[in-house]
Amino acid sequence: MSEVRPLHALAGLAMWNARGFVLVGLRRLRRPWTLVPLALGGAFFVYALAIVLAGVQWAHPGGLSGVGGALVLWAIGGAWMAAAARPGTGLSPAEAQILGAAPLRPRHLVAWRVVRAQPGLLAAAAAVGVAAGDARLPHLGAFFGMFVLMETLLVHQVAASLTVGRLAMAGAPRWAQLLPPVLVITTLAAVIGGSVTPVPGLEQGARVMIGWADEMWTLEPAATVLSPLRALVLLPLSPDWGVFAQRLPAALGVFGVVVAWLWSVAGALPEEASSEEVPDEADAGGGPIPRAWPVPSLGATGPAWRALAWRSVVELLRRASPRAVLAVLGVHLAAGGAWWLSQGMGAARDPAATLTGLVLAVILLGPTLVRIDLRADVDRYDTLRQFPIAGHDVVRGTGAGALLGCMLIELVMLAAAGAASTNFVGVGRLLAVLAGGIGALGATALAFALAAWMSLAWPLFERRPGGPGGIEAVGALVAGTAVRNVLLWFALIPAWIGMAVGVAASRRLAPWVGDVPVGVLLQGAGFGIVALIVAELVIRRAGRRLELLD
Amino acid sequence: MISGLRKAWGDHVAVHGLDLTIPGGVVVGLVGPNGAGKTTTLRCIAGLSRPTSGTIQVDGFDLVKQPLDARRRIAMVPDVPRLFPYMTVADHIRLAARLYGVAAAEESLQALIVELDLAGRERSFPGELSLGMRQKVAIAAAFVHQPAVVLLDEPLTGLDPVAIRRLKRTLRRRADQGAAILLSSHLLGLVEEIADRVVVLQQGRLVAQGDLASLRTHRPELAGAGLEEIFLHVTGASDG
Repeated sequence: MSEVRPLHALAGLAMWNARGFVLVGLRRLRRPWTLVPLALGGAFFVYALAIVLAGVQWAHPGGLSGVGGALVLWAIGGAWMAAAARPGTGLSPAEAQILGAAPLRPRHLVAWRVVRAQPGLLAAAAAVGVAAGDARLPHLGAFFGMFVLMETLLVHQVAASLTVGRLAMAGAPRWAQLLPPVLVITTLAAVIGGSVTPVPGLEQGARVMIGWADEMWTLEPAATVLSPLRALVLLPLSPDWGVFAQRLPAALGVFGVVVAWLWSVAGALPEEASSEEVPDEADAGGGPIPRAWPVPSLGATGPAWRALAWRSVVELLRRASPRAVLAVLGVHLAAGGAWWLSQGMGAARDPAATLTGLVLAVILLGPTLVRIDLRADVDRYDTLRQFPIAGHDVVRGTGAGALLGCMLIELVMLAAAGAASTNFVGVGRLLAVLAGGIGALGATALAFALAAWMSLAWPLFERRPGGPGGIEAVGALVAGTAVRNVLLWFALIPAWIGMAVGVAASRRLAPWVGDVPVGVLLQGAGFGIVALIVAELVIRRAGRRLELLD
Repeated sequence: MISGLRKAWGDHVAVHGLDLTIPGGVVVGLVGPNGAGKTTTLRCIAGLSRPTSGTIQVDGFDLVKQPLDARRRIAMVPDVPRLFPYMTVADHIRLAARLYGVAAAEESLQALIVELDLAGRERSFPGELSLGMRQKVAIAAAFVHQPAVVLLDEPLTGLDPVAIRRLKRTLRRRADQGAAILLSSHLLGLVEEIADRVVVLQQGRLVAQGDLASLRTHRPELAGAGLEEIFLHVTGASDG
C-alpha cells in the first residue's frame, strides 16, 4: 500500500469538484435557453451593481468602505448565527458520508472545510479585483486584498462553528452552546448602536443609512473595538501600493490570529468529530422544535392558498421560538440602549423619521433576512406542485407568513412613529399611520413577490436552505439583495403614479374635508393599492414559472 | 390512459411514445433497469413533468388541459419523502386533506394514523422521525383524499418488514376499492406478489406488459419462471 497523504487527496478533491462545476456549467451554456437568460440576467446584475455602487459613492464619501465594513460585520454575525444553528465541522451530508467514514483525522476534515471553499473565494476575489482595480491600485492588489479579507472571514466562520461544536460534543447544555454566539452578536450590536448618530431626517433616505455604515468605523467606541477589522476592510480599497503595504501587516496579523484560533480548536476536537451526524433536509437544523406558541388551527373550508398561508404562519411561529425572540430582542435592546447612552440618555432628535427610515430598511432587507416563503421550500417543490392548486396560489400562500411577520414589525414602528410625530396631530396621526401601513404593505408584498419570482427565474442568486452561512452566503445574499431592490425600484414606478393620483384627488377633495388631512391617506392608499396590484402580477408570473418547472 | 407519451430533454429522450392504460381496481408494477424511464413516466403522470408530446388522461381529465381536475384524482408517493420540517405528522395530513377538499378530514386523519401505524406520533416533527416513519407520513398524506390513481416510486424505502406488509395490504385494499395503482420498484419479488399486471420499460420503451401468465405464454423457455427471470429475458440483461 502506498503512503496516504490526506491533504493532497483533499486538495485534489477540491480541484476535481471545481473542474466538474465548470464543465457542467459550460455544457449547460451550450443550450440557448440557458445561455440567453443567463447572459441577460448577468448583464442586469452588473447594471444593478453599478447603480448600487454609484449610489453608495454619491451618498457618502466613505460609502464604499462603510458598506464593505457593514457586509463584513454581517458575515461575522451570520457566521455565529450559523454556528448556533448548526455547530460542528459544517460538512454536507455527502461529505460526512464519504469523508467521515474515510481514515481522516478531525483536523483533516477542518482543513477540507477551508479548502473546499477556495475555488469560490478565488473566483469572487478575482471578480472584485477586476471590478475594483483601477489605475491607482492595479487589479492584482484589489484581488489580493479581497482574498485576504474573505479568507480571514472563512477561517473565522469555521472556527466559530467548531467552537460551538466543541461545546456540544462536550455535552454542554443548549443555553451554554448559545452563549458565545449571543455574546459576540450582542457586543457587535452594542458597539455599533453606541457609535451611530441620530437620523437627521427621512429626506436623507439611503444617504443616512450609508453614512451610518461609515460612522461605525470612525466614531467611538466602534473605531477602537473594530480597528483590527478596519485594516482588513480597507485593504482591497487601498488607493495605491504604498497604502496597501502599510495596511497589509495589520491585515495579515488579524488573519494569523484567526488561523491560530482555528488550529487550536481543530486540534482539540475528539476523534468522533470525524463522523458527526449531519442533519438531513427533513431536520430543522437546530435541535428539537419548540412548541411554545399556540398555533392557529386550519379551518375546514376556504381557498386553497389560505391553507398554505396557514402552513407558512405555523412555520413562522415555530421558528420564532421564545428563545429566538428573546435573543433578537436582546440584540436590539443592546444596540438601542448603547445608542441611547451615546446620545447622553436624551431623547432622539427626530424619532419619527428614524422609525420611518427603519420601516424602509425592513422593506429593502426583509426578504433577505426572513426567508420563510417559497425559497425555503426549494427541496419540496414537487410536494407543493402535486397539490391540485394553481402555481400563483402556492406562491401567495407560501409567502404569507413572512409578509405577516414583516408587516407586524413595520406596523409597530409606524405606530410608534405616529405617536412621536410632530407633523401630525389628532385624527391626522391615525390617518398618517394608516397611510404608511397601506403603502408599506404594498411595497413589502411586492418585495416578497419579486424574491419568489427571482428564486424561480434566477436561482443562482439564491442560497439553498440549510446551506453554509457567513462569508460563503454573503455573495448570494448581497447579489440577490442588490438585484431585487433595483427590480423593486422599477416595479414601484406605477405605485408612485398611484400616489400622484392620490395627491391630485386630495387637492380636489380639499374644499370638502376642511382641516382633516385626508391627502396623506389618499397618497398612501394610491401607492399601496397599485403596489399590491403589481405584486399580484409578479405572483402570477412566478406561479406560472413554478407550474412549468420540469 | 397514457397515449403516445414522449418526454425528451434536448437530444436525450427519456420516454419514447408510451401507450398504457391502467384501469381502476388494478395494481400495475412498473419495472425496468436503471435509466429505463420509470420515474420520468411517473412524474409525467403526476403532472410534475410536462410531456414533450402525447396525452395523459386521468378519470377523463386531460392532465395538460385540465391539470387541477386531474391532479385532484392523483396521489404520488416519491422514493424520498419531502416533508415540511416545521409541520407535525397530523399537520401534514390535515393540510393535504384541506388542499384536496376532503370533507371528513379528522375521520380520515384518524383512520390513516391507525392504518399506517402512526399512533402516538401525531405531534412529532419530521426531524424526529426515522426515514421509514417519514415515508409513512408521505403515504398517509397521499391517501387522505381517496385518490383514483396512486403512483408509487420505490415506496418501500426505509420501511421495516411489518410496515411493508401493512403497505401491501393497504395497496391491495385501495385497488379493491377501485383505485388504479402504478407501482415502480426494483424489488421484483414485491411486484410479483402484489401486482396484477407488469409493465417492463427499457431505454424509455415499453418492451413487455401483461400478467405473469401472459408474459410467459409466447416464451416457452419461460414456463414456470418468476418475474426476475422474465425481466432478465425481456430486457436482454445477464445476471453475470
